[in-house]
Amino acid sequence: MKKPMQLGYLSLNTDSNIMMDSRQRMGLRLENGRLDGNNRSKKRPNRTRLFPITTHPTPLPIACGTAWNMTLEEAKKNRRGLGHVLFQFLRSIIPSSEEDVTMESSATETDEDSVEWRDQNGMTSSKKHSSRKLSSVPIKIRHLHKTFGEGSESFIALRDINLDFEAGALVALVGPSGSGKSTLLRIIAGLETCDNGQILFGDEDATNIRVQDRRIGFVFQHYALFRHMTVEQNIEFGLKIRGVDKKTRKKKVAELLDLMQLSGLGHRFPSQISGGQRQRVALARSLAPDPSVLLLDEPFAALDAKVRRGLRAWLRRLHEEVGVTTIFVTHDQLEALEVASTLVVMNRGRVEQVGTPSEVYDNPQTPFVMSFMGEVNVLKRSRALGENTLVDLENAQKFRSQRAPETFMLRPHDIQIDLAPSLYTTEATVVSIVFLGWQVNVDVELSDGQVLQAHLTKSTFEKLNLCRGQTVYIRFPEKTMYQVEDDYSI
Amino acid sequence: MLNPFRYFTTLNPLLLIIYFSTVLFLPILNLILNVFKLPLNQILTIATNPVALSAYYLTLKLSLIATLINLCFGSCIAYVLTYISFWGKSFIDILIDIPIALPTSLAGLAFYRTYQTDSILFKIVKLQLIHSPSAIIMVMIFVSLPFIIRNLQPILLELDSKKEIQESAICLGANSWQIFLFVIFPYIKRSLITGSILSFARSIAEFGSVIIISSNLPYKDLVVSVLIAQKLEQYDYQSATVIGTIMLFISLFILLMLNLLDRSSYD
Repeated sequence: MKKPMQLGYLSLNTDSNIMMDSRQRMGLRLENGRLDGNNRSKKRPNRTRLFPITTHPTPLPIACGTAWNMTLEEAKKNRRGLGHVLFQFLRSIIPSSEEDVTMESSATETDEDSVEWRDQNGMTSSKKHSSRKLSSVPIKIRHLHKTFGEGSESFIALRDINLDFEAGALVALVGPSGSGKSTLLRIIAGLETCDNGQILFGDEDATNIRVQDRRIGFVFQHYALFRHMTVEQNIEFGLKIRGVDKKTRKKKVAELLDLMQLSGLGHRFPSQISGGQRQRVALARSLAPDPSVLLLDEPFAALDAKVRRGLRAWLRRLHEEVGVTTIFVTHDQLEALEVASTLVVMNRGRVEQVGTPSEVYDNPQTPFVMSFMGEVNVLKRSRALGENTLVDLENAQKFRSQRAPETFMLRPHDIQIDLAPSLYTTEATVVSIVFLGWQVNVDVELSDGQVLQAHLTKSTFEKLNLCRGQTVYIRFPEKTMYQVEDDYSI
Repeated sequence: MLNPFRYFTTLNPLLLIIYFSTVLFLPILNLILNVFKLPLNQILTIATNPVALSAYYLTLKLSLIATLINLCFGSCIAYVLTYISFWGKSFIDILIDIPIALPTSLAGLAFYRTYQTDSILFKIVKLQLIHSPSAIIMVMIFVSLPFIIRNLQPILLELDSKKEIQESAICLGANSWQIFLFVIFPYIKRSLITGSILSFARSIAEFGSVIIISSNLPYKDLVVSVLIAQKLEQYDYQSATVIGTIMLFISLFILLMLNLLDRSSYD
């Protein structure tokens, strides 16, 4: 037995299981039920007849070599028969029970977009959701290539991507637009096909598995909710399609609404709730069928800044609670740093660097990562620099490049400003001071005209008491310097 | 404030009422009043006259069939015109509006000339179309062709720009049939209904081409619009008004029912 949900689903939708006897099917259905709750003992009525009529002792044969009133078992055996075809069709469009779910929860007004996580000791106890831990799978990506278009107009979206995500990771794919991060996500989901390469979910090769069978949850930038369904029906959709029975569905929807802090909004239509709420409904909907991978494509990009900030922290907490392997795409490096446990920085279809937020920020492997993850100053080697200013740096850089570096990148907050010269300092003039409250941006000009920006904390600034036109001595801490490759351009 | 339409808001509502009365309410009201001038038993006798009854039935039946056929093929055409690009597409897109512009008697004549018994088409396929209910269905389809297509096109375009909705259904495990039934159909349902209403109404009202193409024999292929004209030719104004009014109420009822199908609260 592997994953219960998958087996339950397969028992309803793939050909190989049609030949199973009813007892086996029963077992699988119950297995399916178990994963949402514990209604294991509740027996479903064994409805094996296609139509609720009394069976004729001798079935009436009709044109297609089958009888219209034969039992389901008989119909299943006769695979060429009209009954089988009809049964296949009906089963493909009508998942098990089709009664409408009517829940009597009163629609109470809730705070619009209140997304702060409820106290674990409070109403939403952690105990309640501890059972929600999902089985997550590690994801491996091997030699993935993707090209859009053909001939001279072709555009290489992804080149030789190799990635490993451990089970339960919270990964951010971050990069500028056109870097291929969304394409990669859509290929993992199966919404796009790759030219060559492999995607492994656990040990299973998922490259050629249909999207429907991949057990993924996908959240789109613009929510993509079904506007003709209520919030409840939206969340329920995936369960209904997979043939989960009504009672389990109802329970699950209530549980998810609670988890997403949407209780009381179940009867609203998507047009009647706010953007943040819609995105949470979309999240609940994708989580409902217990996916083993959750994929989010720029989930917060369509929301305003305040809601976005709230949802970021909230997503992190949700991931802790649910524990499903999560990959999200963002172009906002701050969002990636804030939410993810692993960052994958992408540029022009390549993976530039993979690492934890601190690794990526503090030890960028390429100039692109350095410049993408935060503000940088680009410094050219020149006579204006003090003789010894770059010595430490050059020693540190030697193992990376044989050539003597010509250009350097450094973070504004790493530039130190002294009032007195020392062995490693360079003379500079203050050209502008911008006061931002929590920090002060000081622009200094070197004697050859290069302008560097330094970010000082408020207390440092007050200690130095700088003013425009003043001569200062700047120092670059060796650790933070970074050599710029010759071919690099921003 | 620079909206030039602001001048319209200064129009006296009374003017609006007068306008509507002249073009819409007064004629219909007059028709109904004329009917109720007659004694009730006479109204009933005229209205339930076997010829009239068969005409109502035939009109509704043929209109319904025409609308259903239009629904199938109209959706297909709308789909093709929206999603598939081919040479001469914009020309076909213009052609679709021809039935609205063309005088219907001309359309009837065209159909008559094409399918009559001594036409080339008849000599190839020995199919008697003229002077039969099938011919009426055909002209009804012709005159109501644009309504479903023109109603569907914008919503299909909108659906195309919202691929994410279908993709999210796929991710939730829906197969193509389920996507159509649970996602696409509810999305385009309203347009389908509106288009069907217009198409059905247009079919019921069709006169000019029907009178040319059918034999106009009672119980065979006599529709209400032609029956009314025949009564008028016989200077039987009373029957004409009564039958017309009954038809008015029947169509009104059907349109109302179709509109009720459309009730949904999601937006």
